[in-house]
Amino acid sequence: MRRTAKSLIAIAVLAVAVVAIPIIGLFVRVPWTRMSELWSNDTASAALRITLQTSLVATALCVLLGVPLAWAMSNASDKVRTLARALVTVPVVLPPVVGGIALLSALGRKGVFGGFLSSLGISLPFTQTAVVLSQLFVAMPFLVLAVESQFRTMDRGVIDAARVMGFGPFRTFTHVVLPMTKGSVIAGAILAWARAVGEFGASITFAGSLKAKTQTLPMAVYELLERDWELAMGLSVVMVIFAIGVIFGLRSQLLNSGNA
Amino acid sequence: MHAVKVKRVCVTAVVALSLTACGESSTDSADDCSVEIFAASSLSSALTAMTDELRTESGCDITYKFGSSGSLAATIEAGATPDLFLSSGTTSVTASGLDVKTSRAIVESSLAIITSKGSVASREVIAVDDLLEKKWKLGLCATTAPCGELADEVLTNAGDVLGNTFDFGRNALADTEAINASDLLTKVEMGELDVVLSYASSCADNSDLTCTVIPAELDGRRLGEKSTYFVTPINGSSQVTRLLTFMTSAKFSERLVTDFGFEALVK
Repeated sequence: MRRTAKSLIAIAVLAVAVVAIPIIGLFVRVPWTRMSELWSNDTASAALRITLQTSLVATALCVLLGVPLAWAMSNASDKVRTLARALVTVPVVLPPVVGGIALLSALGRKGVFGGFLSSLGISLPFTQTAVVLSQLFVAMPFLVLAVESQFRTMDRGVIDAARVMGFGPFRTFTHVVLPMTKGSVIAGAILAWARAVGEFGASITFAGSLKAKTQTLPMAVYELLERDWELAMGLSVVMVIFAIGVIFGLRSQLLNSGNA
Repeated sequence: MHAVKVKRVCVTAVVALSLTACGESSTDSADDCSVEIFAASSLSSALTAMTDELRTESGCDITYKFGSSGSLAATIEAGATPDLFLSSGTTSVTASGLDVKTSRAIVESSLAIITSKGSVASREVIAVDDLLEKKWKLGLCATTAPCGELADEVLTNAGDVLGNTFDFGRNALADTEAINASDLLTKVEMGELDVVLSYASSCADNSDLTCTVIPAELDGRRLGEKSTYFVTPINGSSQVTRLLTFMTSAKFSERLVTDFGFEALVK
């Protein structure tokens, strides 16, 4: 029994090593003395600005569109909910670059809907709007799945009580459901934001990569890797620290929602 | 009973593995060797089409990795060990940590204005100053790729020739950047970009594209630029030496010039 436990611990240590070793390698090799150069580096600072702008807009859109979708899914029949959940989950399991090709096929200048947009003088590829749409495509499922499960497990008696008190469906949603599930919505939004910040494949395919216009942090890391790998490592460390910050933010958020 | 079943499964597995192994050995090349070539994406069509010749010359199987010379150099610098590196320019040879003295020039290619055949842009964008019109979606190679460096040189030259009242800066003109020449051409073929600046050799084996070579001079001043392709051996094995001899031969460069739109080296 004891031997089995030890072997399991050994496997667990190996599993932790798989994740930890690359991160440790990055932190050991990064030239810390050059980190300050990141702030004065045109590529890095422009990418940071573009990433913040686009990811925050994408996250806001995720919340505006995703929360009502999650609520609708939680109230739908099993059949509809299963179908909707499968559809919403597709971007999570899809390689991001395939998502980019899908966006290009639909909204590119020669795309299914892009042709119509072009006739109106609207061209989406290689714009910041395209970056936002790419981020929205890959990030929204994280919010929807997190919030929908919370909606389904919440106390439905409170909703019935609100109805009895004369609240309409919309007011019940905004004044009862949302305040009760605020923690999950925030946690879902943070997850979606983190995914949007890290988005690469769909963006580079649909929005391209042009400095100070559409180039986000992951694209900047990719570009810097070819001409200044030390700065690429520095920028990578910034992103790892951001990811760790998100995890801690989520942890405290989930603890708060659990206590509520 | 259970033990017999397990034994049967094991015997079946061993037989299956043996058969698989037999199958694999029958498909191996006669010489059982391979040469790995890292090459600029603009050479992909030519090298892929010439694989049989390269196999015959080296006596080995040939495998490729295509990409921007800059990213391939970064891969080599990070520890990748191909046998040969075919790059556009020598900057990436230096960046890869290889000895540039071992590099040998093969062919050249001029920068061209490339559009989709039959498109409005193919009729209206025929000179560098036509790129100034904001209505065209223009793509350039990233500055880390040799085709991006070349495009920047041409745009700088254009600014000098046509006067500084025009902004020929990359950020003023381009709508997007691509990591290599092939990626740019795909976007033109898909109709997402109107025009790109890339190698004139791109049009030789692609009937969907129109190339307008940017002239070397305009009004007596330098305008167009060329990139020279180099082959650099990474090890001294006999098969690599044989391939190097072939790739630096007149026969190889003539094939690239005649069939794939490259230009012979200016002696």
